[in-house]
Amino acid sequence: MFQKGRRVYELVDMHYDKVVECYNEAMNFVEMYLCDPCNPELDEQCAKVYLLESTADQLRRDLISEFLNGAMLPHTRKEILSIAQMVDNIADKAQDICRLIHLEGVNFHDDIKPKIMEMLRLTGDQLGHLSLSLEQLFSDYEQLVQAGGSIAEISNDEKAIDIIEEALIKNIYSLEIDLAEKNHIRRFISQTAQISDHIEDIADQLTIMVVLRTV
Amino acid sequence: MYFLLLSGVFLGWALGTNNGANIFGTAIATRIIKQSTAVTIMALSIIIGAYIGGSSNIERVSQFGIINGVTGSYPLEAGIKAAVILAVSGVTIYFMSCMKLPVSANQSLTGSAIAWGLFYTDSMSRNLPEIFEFVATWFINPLFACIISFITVFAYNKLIAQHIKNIYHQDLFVKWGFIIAGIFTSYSLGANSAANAVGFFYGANNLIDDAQLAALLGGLSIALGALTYSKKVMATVSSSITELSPVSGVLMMFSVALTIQIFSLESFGINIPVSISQAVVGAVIGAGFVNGFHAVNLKTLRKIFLAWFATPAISGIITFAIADVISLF
Repeated sequence: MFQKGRRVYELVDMHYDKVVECYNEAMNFVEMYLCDPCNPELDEQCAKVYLLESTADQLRRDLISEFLNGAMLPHTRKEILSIAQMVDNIADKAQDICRLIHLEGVNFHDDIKPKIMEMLRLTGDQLGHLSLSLEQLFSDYEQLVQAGGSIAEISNDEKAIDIIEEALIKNIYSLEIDLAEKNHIRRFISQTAQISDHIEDIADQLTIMVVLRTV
Repeated sequence: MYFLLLSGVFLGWALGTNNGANIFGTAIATRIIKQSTAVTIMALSIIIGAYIGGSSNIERVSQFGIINGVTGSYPLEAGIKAAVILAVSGVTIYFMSCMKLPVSANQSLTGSAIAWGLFYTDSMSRNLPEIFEFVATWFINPLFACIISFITVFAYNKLIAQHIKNIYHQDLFVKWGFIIAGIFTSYSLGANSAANAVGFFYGANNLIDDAQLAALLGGLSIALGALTYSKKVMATVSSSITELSPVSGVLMMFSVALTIQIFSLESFGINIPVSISQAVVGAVIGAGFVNGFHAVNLKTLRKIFLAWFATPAISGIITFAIADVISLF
């Protein structure tokens, strides 16, 4: 049972690393696009994101197969699979952002570029805290729910991203550009902010897992 | 004449359906243990428990039957009387199982025996202390289980929880905890409750003169009930009284096993078969109380308590009616 449990953690960890890699590549793609929308390397970078997303999917399937071999108890399997599914959605959302820019060619105004990069950086920080939270679930889950821990950091980052999102939306609608263009950028901003909300949802789910385990 | 034993086997079966469900109910419902594994462990442990530790309560139950008029000038007469009481008790418990309510064989048996005693003997005042002891266990048993469960959960939180740091450790604790507690509880059920099924046929009633053999028969019939028809009562106990986490479920089972085992000890001086169902209800309440009074579903509790009074009343009324019909011949 211990060996199977360890294997589950390895797969969860590998899957998470792949999702983070996917997000980081998506972030690089956005940064490259913001610097130069006509950069010829953008196609290659976008393909890299797609590939990582599909690799993450495969690792999630491996995790399901490991559970079919009887690893962990049924209620734990259900919870871990639900977490893995939610983590996988981060890669999906990162891919969607790349697709939006790559296929629709969003026209970003220079004024808003630094704030967009700030949002993406904070989301990356959130992913770092989430990685620690997942590790704690498999090593010492009491640390996970301690005040001021990684879960609290995720929540703080989410609040900061919300503030940036609101400021960006205000900023976009004050620009002297077409309404369609404003809405197009706003869609990008909302999709990016959704990743942060999603990470917070995963953190909440981890907290619930721990709370349900207390007597 | 031995066909009369079928009534005892029927009561044992009914007892197994009602009490056996409680042992692995939570573990099976949450798919922690496969049903086939649980049922095998349970049946074997009940039989071993009945064979090794079941004979101590047999004499007491037999004596209880005798003072309530379950005797005869020849073995068949005593056997028929015992069979009526056991069959009525069995039917009452089966009815309660169908209603998904956890009740005790001790309750239905006491109700039947008292009704029989009222009809055929003129010795109620002499019997009162004995009857009082049987009735008192209906309250002492769950109260005891509640206290033990509260202490167990409290001790777990203070001493053990800090060593269970991650989800592997907890899964391991839950899985093996359920298996060990299940074996312990099944053993206690066999040792403690086999007497309910066959006690009236033992000794002065002359149908079975070996207490260990009587206990074994009782154990086998309880195991049969647990194997065949125990799922319905599981849901009521495992989730309706208070929400239990898997760890609480394990701790509750340990508390039940401990309670029943204490009641089985000759040195404890009670030697009356007590109900696992009642102990489980008490233990679930105790585990719930650790999280505050609000954690306990009082509506379900009220229903269960009513069933505890309805069980002896129903079996008593039916027995009285049958005794009345028999007296016509």
